[in-house]
Amino acid sequence: MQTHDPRVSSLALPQGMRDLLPPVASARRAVARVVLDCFTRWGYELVIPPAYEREESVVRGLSPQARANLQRFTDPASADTVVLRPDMTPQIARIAAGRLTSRHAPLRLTYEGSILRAPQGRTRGQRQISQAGIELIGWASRDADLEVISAVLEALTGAGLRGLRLELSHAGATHALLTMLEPSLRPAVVQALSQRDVSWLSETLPDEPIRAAFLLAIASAGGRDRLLQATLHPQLSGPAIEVQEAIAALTARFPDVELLCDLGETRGHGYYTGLSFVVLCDDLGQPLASGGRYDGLLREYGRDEPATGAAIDLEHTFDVLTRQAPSGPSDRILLLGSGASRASIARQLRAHGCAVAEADPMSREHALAALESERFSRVWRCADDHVVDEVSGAVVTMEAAR
Amino acid sequence: MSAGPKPLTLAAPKGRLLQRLAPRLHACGFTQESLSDRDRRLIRESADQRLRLFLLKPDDVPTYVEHGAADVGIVGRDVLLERAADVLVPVDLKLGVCKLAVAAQNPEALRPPAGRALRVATKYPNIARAHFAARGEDVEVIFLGGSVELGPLANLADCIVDIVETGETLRSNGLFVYETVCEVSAVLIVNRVSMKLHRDAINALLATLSAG
Repeated sequence: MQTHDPRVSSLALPQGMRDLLPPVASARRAVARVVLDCFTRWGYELVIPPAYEREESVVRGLSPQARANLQRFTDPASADTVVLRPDMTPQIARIAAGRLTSRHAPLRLTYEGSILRAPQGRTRGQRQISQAGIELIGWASRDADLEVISAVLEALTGAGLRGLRLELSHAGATHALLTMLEPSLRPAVVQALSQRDVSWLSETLPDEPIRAAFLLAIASAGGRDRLLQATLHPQLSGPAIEVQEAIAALTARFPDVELLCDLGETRGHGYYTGLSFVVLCDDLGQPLASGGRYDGLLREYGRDEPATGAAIDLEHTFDVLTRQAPSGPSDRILLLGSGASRASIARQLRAHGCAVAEADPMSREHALAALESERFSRVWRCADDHVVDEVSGAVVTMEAAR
Repeated sequence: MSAGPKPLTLAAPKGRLLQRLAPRLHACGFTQESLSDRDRRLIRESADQRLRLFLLKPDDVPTYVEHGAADVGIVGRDVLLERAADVLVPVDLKLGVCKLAVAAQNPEALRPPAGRALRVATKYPNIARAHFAARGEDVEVIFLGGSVELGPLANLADCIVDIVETGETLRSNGLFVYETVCEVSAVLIVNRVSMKLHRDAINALLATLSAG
């Protein structure tokens, strides 16, 4: 609810936006670094796309729902309608198709940044979502799908996450189901399938084999054994077998990750065309990461190549990490002293890689309060030509600083 | 139900629907006593402590489930139609079946003089707007929190869009149903991620709750 007191409301952030403050902001940044470093080791190169783009460019390939939730405005420079990016994959597709044309496939691109969504209903939370992702363009093989999934799982475990679960689904299953229907019926059925509204589907779907196929897809969720029946179904067997084989390959690579499947999943299928996945964790009611194959999207931008990719939600990842292993106080030194000697000692410490904040001499009481507040891990006092630890009284050497 | 590390949470609306659900909640392990109206606690536990029950206002049930504060919820379809929630809707309980309807004092009230939009009082502004828009009718929707029947009597509105169960309240206030918007009944809703993480336990709970 908007407050009407102008003294308050003028400083309130727009709904769904937030500040990250110390020490959370730097811890969050550290997670992003670990994730990006992992993607770099898998051979992905960083691209930094702009925060907003022309609407007609971004919307190619977006689902109708995603199009409805765009944050649009008019660019004063050109009077074009532009949108704050709701998703970075279309941007990467545009870059791969239009800017990196001389590079031969496969292209491996990684990115980090915020995406923005329009407020939806009254219960949604954040509108600005920080992501780090990868896109593997020009490789149609199953190995490409497995590479993307493996890189994401390694990035998450590398950041320190435990208890991960991977759920695989397949856009081809939804597609196979919908092609059995009259086009006019499809939007309502997609909605019902997305909600697994079995009652509505049972009443609405026109005939028995179609009904059975939908119910079978919905029932093919859980452990891999649930897929068996679908692998024998005329319309669903292709996607079901692909999911089954991916699970078999990933079981060997990631024995600690629980592997699940759901052939009835429709989420994020705006541009997905094949195997897709979400990474979940016991401690969180939202996916940590999601991704999938999108073989048609690059064609929209003029380069007809298969592609697969994924994005990690950095906020969610960080939330779970802090719950699983709360971090200690930040490793910062408060250096008390004055003049050139303090500046010189601070410079030496920084050269050793320490984080040093300088301050004028203060009472022992105030110095200890700074420690107590956990904003600093150590308080050191400059004395003549050496440095003394405020708590222990011991002389500090440069070796100790390291 | 399979043993899990933490109990599942069920969100249910306080009031009439809860009483109708009582036999099914007994089957889930809630004692008669733990469902008592006189008990003022908002969290109740099943006898085996594997299930927690939140008692909420009906409108709040989808909010708890969408955010994962509750795994499973029981709610009228009217609440879901009014405010789309990003949840699974796997079971229609076919319980508490009633309808959303347009009611007014007389048929003339539904035909306002030319140049003035029909005034509709309702707790369901989105449903009402969509219903009239589908027929190309321009209406002025007036949101009311309760006692919607008073709207036409006080000349605040020409008609109402509201839940009609027995029709008793309408009759007592001289209103008649002229049109059905849709049928509604209680449905079970499930948090999307909970379903993936606790599928077997949740399916077992859904089965117990849907067994009439």
